Amino acid sequence: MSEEDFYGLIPYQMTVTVDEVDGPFSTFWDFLSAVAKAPAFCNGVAGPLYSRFADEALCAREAAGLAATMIMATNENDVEKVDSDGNLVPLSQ
Amino acid sequence: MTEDTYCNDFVNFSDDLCATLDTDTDEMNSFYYAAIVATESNIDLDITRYGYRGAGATYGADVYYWMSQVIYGDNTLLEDPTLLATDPVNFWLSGLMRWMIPMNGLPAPHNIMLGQWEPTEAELAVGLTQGFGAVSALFYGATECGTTKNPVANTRTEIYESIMSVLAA
Repeated sequence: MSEEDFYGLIPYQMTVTVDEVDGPFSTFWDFLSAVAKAPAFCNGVAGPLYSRFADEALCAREAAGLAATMIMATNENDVEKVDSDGNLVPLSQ
Repeated sequence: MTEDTYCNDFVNFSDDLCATLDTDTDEMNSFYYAAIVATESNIDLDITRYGYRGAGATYGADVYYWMSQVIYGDNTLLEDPTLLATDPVNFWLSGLMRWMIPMNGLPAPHNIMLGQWEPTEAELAVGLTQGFGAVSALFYGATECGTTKNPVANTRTEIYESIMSVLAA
C-alpha cells in the first residue's frame, strides 16, 4: 500500500494545525509507526485452510481486513445522513 | 465455498447466529483491573471518561487499562484517556490492538485472517466459518443482527473487497 493509497482510503479525516500549518490529523508515517509496534501484523504462520496462500497474499487479506474494520469503526454509520444538498452521504466516508 | 461467499452469507445474520454472538456487555465494560489500579493510584474511573476513541473504537475502563499497559507499560491512558484521540500513533494502535489481541472471549481477527483460529461446533452450526466474514460477524454480528443485508456490514465488506483489489493490482 502506497502513501497515496493510504490517503485515498481516509480522505475525510480531521484537519489539525501544528506550528501554524494545517495538515491531516494522522499521516501515513503515523500509521506505519503504529504498525511497527505490532510486529506480528502481516507476519504469521497460516493455518491449514490458508497454507496455499503466499505471504504477500495473506498480508493483503489482513491489511484489507484491518483497514475495513477501522474505517467502519470510525464512521458515523448513519444510513440516513444527508449532505447540505440533501444527498445521502455514503457509509464509507 | 469461497471467502467471497462467506462475506455475502454474513450480511444476513440469522437469529441463531445473533444469539451465539450475544456477548456479555457487562464483562466488556468491566472495571475489574482498572478498579484495582484506580484504587491504588487515586484515578477517577467515571465511565464517561472512557468512551469510544481511536481507530479500534476502544471503549471501557478495562480495555483502556490493557491498552495502556501495551503502549506505555503503565497507567498513562487510564490517567489521560484523551491521548487515544489526540496522539495519531495511539489512534492507529487502538485499531491494531483490537485486531491483534484476543479480548472478551473472542479470537483476534489477526488469527482468523491467518486461518489460525478454528470455529467450535456451535459456531459452525450457525454458519460461522472463516475469513473476513467471520471477523465481521464475530465483532459486529450482535449489533448488526436483525436487518436483512445490513448496510453497515455490506459497506464493510465492500471496503474490504475494494482494498483487496487495490492490493492485488
